[in-house]
Amino acid sequence: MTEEAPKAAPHDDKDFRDQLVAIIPSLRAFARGLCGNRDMADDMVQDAMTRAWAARQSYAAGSNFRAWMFMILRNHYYTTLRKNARMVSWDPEVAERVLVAAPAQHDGLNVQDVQAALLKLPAEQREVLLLIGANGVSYEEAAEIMGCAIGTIKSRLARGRVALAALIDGPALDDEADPLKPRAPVLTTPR
Amino acid sequence: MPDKSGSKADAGAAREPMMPIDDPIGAALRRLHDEVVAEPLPDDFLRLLGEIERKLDGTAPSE
Repeated sequence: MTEEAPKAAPHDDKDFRDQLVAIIPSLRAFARGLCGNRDMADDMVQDAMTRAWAARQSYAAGSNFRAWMFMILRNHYYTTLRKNARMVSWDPEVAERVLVAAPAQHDGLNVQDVQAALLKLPAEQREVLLLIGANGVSYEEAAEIMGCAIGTIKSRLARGRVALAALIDGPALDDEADPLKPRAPVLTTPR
Repeated sequence: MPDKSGSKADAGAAREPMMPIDDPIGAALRRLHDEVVAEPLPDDFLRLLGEIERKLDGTAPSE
C-alpha cells in the first residue's frame, strides 16, 4: 500500500476528519519515539495529517486507516531523516530528564532510560518496537506499515528487544557483535 | 531503510503473542506511549483541525 495507491471508494469527509482526530495521540507517540524530539515530532504529525487530508480521495474507505496514517507518517519521517542525518540525535529535553531527573522506576525499568536507549537503536528496530511494543499493532499491520514481510518484523522486534535491554542494562552494544550500529550518538554527561 | 525481502506467506504469525504482558521492556514502551497519549492536544493541532473544519464547512479562514 502506498500513500496514493488505495483507489477511491466513496467516503465522507466528516468521517475521515473524525478518524484523523482519533488517531492523533497515537501518531504523536509514534513520532516522538522515532525522533526523540517533541516539537519535531509534532511538526511531522501535522505534516502527515495535512498530506493525508490532501490525499483523502485516494484512501479506500473501510481499509485500515491506522496503517495508512502510520505509513504516511513513517514515509515522511524517513524523507526528513534523509534530508537531515542528525535529526535522530541529541534532544536536550530528553537528556535533561535522563541525566538530572530522579529515576522514575516502574517494574525495575526507568522510562526515561528506555526513551534514551530507543534513540540509540537503528531506526528500523526503533520503529518496530514503537509500533508493536508501544502502540500494540499486530505483526501483520506492522508489516503493512513498514512494507516488509512479517518474518522481517519478528526478526527486527527480537533484535530490537535484545539491543534495547543491553543498552538499558549495561555498556553500549559491541559493534563487532551486532552489525546494526546505533545511528544516534550515545548520550553522555557533558564535561 | 526498509527491506522488502522475504515472504508474506507467514501471515499466521500475526496471531502469535507479540510482547508478553509481563515483559518489563514492553511495559516501559507502553508507558512511554501512554504518557504522550495522555497529553492535551497542543494548540497547533487545534488550529490545523480548525482549518480542516472550515474546509468541511466551506467557509474561509477568519484571518
